[in-house]
Amino acid sequence: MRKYAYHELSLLQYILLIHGTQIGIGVLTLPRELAEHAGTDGWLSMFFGWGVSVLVSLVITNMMKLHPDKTITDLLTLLLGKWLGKVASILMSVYCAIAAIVVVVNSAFIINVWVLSQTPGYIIFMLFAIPIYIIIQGGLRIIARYSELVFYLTLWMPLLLAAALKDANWLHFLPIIKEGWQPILSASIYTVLPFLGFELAYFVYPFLKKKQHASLGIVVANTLTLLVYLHVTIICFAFFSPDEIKQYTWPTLNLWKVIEYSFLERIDIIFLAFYLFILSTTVLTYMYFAVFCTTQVFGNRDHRKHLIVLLLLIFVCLWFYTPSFMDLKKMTDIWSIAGVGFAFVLPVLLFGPIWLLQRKAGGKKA
Amino acid sequence: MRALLRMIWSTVLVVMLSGCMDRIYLEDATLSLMVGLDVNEKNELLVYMTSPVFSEEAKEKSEEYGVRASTIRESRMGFDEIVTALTVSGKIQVLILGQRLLQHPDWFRLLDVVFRDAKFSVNARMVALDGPVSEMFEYRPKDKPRLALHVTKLIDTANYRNLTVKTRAQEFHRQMFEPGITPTITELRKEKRAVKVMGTAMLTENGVYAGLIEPRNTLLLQMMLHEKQGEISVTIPIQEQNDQKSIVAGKISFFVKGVNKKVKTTYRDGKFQFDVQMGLDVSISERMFPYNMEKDYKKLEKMMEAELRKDYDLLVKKCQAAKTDPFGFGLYARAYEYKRWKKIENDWPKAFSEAEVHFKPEVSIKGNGVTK
Repeated sequence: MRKYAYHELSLLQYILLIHGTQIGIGVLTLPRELAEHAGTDGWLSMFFGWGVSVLVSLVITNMMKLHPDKTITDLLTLLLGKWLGKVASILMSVYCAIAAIVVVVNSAFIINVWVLSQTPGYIIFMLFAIPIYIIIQGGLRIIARYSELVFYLTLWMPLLLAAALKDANWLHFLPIIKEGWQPILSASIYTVLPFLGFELAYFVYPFLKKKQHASLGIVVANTLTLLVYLHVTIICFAFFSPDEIKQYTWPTLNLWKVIEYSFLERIDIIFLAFYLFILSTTVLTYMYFAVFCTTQVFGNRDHRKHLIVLLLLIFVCLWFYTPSFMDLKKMTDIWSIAGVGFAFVLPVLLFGPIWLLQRKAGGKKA
Repeated sequence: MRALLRMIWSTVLVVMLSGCMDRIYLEDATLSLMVGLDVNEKNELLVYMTSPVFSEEAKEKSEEYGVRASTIRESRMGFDEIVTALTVSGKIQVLILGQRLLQHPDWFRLLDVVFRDAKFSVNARMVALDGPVSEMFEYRPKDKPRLALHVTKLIDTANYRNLTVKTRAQEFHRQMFEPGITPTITELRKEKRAVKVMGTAMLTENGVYAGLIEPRNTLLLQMMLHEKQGEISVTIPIQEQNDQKSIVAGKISFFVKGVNKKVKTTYRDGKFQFDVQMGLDVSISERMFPYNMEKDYKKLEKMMEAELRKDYDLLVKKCQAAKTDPFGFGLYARAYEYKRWKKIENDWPKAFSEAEVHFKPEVSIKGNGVTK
């Protein structure tokens, strides 16, 4: 039985879907976080974050390989029984919803700070909600296509960002490894959150058409993400002084502020909009799987109703309460902790039982 | 039904688009192009601004105002009370700082809004004005375009010829936060009939005015900071003959076509040592004395090197005396002598004032112009 055959993804879509999910708010804040904890050596920390992510991704892929046609919710139901399985699925859904909400609310907040300072957050969210609904209602394949499109649409951004390099000062990087490896290692914790997104292989794997390339796909996705982050971080470190960069909440956006042409002065205002595309790929995937889980729990086929409920819920919450910047920080922290649990701990815990399950099932068949 | 729904949707969307509360019509905006900050005798902050007037009926094409306020953002209230429309800070081209303001060690905090408010332009050119800012804003030249645009152009072109630095607010922010460099900004003076570029104002670590680097020395500073940028034309005296009667000085002018800078950083005898090797490819554009170039061009190169070295040494001495490091030698100290740097990080200007800097220009004459 191939339940998910209808939404099959090509390898490229698989890669870009996961890559798109990984690149989120991290691309805006990571340079500062790294600078705060490891100075200009922070870019080295990224390799640790990448290494761990790739390892865990491979664990997940190999785990999913044992049951190629089942998503994590199916597996958990098999493993824990009907009711506990449902509880686990709801937890999964909550996790995805938190991730989606953190990113979407952060995006609204950034727009609020940078461009539309007088417009209330819920109106900005409402404007986000319309395209979100239009895309998610189409299902996973549409989201994957969208991620692919966004990837092509934003390919020029690294090139333009490199324009800031004409004022770069490469001396900021020397000496490499200033205070030994300790700060670099401790800063690598902060690279965990930016790499989150690979854990969605739990869900996406069954949709992949050519499953033999799954491991390759997820390594490529992680590496693409690493390249994007490295690019941004190195440009930021070269451009801003090591002490200055800590002053900015979103150093990447400040970088855009400097670029100026004689025919166009405030590029940042326009190009901020393009970051919404990049952030949107994160929101869409997480939000889709949040409602995907709930539909599985309630046995519905149509995820659109659940989606409307979720979007309305967020809207109403934002209407009654505008989160402060501290709330956002706390929410992001909650997501990172939950992310460590769901993306790093869970696969390690689950691998054994699922392997046993497969052996049992395999034994029965024979 | 479906079509109807779609129509409702699109209507809602179109209506929502204009629903953003942040739109502003150009007619409703007073674009401040130049902002000035100064303090009066009673140490009260004065904020000035000038903005273009878009109106057929107005005789003057720009308006200038000054208000007394305690912060820049507060001054906006004062401006909104008098100017034609809403004051907008996203297009500021020039930020002028009065001489008296620059005596106060904590004035940089006033600029907080420039960096905190995302709408503020960080590309404004920073200017130190030699004299009270009010003079500048009262100036209405008949033979120049709008003052703000004129000053912008003046700074940009003077910077192209390396007579002054062009420090934008963002760059200034970097220089203020970077412990290894002290800020430098353009210095202007309002003369009787014109605005004049005086050169480069050296500021100390916390932004207090510390002295002027004249245009001819700014050339040297710029070569050190940016290697070749814009057009570099140097004129130096070459003491060939001492003829008292001659009105023509024994000088030589040349274009610098390429600069190749190498800095060697060491720590010896309890102080930092910087050996700056500067390869200059030059092309002679003017020579005020007879000289046999074909035979003795090597000798001329040596004389030019000696003269440049003397100039550089004087400039460094001057900066060291003023407790400033506009060259950013601190960055080299951090990059190559990190352990030593860590100890004096918080007071680099003092460590730099004790450091030894050896400039070693290496001139290579590549061109001699069209005459022999």
